[in-house]
Amino acid sequence: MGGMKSWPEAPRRVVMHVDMDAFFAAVEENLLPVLRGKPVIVGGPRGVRGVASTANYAARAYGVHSATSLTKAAQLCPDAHFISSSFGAYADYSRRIVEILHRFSPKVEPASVDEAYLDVTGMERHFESPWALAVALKKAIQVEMDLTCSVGIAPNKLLAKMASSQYKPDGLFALEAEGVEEWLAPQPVRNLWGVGAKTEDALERLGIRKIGDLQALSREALIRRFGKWGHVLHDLARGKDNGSVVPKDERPTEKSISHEHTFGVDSDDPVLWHATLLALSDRVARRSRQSGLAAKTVTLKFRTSDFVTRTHGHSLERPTTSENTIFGMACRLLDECQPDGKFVRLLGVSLSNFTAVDTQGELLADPSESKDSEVTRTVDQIRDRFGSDAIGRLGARYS
Amino acid sequence: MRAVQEPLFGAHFTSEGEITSSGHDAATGAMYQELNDPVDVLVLFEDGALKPQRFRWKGRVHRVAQVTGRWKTDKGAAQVRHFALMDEEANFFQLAYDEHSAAWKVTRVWVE
Repeated sequence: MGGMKSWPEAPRRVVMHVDMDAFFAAVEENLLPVLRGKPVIVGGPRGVRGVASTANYAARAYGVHSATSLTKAAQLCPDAHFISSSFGAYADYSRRIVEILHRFSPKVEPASVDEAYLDVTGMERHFESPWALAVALKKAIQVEMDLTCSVGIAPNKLLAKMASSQYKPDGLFALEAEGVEEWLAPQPVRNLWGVGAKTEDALERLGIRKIGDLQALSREALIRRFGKWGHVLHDLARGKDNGSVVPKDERPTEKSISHEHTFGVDSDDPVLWHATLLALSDRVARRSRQSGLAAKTVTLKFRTSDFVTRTHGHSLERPTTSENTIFGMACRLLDECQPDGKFVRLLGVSLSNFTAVDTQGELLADPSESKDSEVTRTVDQIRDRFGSDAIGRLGARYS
Repeated sequence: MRAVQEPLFGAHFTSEGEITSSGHDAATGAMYQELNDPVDVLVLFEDGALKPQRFRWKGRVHRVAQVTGRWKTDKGAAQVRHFALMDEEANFFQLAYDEHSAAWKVTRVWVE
């Protein structure tokens, strides 16, 4: 690997993946500097049900990671400081980091609150090399935000993401197109995008553990075994990815809008289930109206105390943005899951199969919805002005 | 922290706060409390920024030694400005200023 000490010749792309190190915990350490150097677990107070959203590196040394249950985390790391998430702070810090990234490239794609891709192809007028650009970027984030990040530089998004995880925290690693297959070969297949536990198990049954094992299989063999996914696996194993870095304002319309709620204590109370569905329907309906999208399909997510999860969807006669219609369908879907006597852990409502709402939308909508629309508009206006908690439906609650 | 009545800039004032939740950790002695507690704050407006200088909470004035973090959240059309800060006695607080109601609150307090 040459380390990207110079710019590759066109038409080769240069993509960076910027991954903030233990982001939520690092922000909390900034806000409360006495926490620095101590194990910090973000997700909730000790003893409550839930999972860690982030553990800092001091806590990771005890085996605590994202998604570790808080109960387990307390056993693994009894001296840890448990902190409730301050999502407002993380979102604002994230926004400021993206502003910094925009100084280094106009093509910035935030992938989540703590990671982003940059296409820095053609920035040779401003920086001596991709490596020099990454060093300057890391320094800007360190100086202005007092946070560290790990950066991967590569010819595409897949490889850039894999490269950023090479030397965490505060790492920098560059991959050039030459030698990519050799670099990938000894790595476990789970390091590839989209290879989760199920695919890993399926590959393991075929004796495939390393990416190199995957590289040895032909495209046809993988397609025979995995269908269309085999086609993708064949490319991933060779580090091929044509995905573009897509800035947020150029993204296509969202495919689904969903909200879910985990009960503090598993509930067998139908009144609470329906109150929760009402609150969730209200939230997804409002988001669909804000996006100017009407949904044709409503899907219920239903998880019982034994962690069995069902998703159950149904299409409506007409696309809707009405919480009443969505709530009605969600209740019907819940009934069809035959929940009586069960203890429910989680409920979720998801909308999909969208069409844009135009000025004629109300004329085409279900006549029974029109009487609600004036109330809905007024409620939306109040929430736009005073916040989403300013007004709500009687009976809608989570717990 | 002592609970002593002390004026912020002259008049005495007492605010009764409500603790909404707490993260007391008996094992380590570390503690934070989440609050929604009205507070009087003396602020400097400088270079377009809001800089809390001191505040009175539960009758006691705390002088701000360092602002360790600041961020904004939306509340409808208005914004809420949040400040993480340390007073001169190394106590840590989080304050929030709601632009719509022009009111300050203590939202978190940390006691080591």
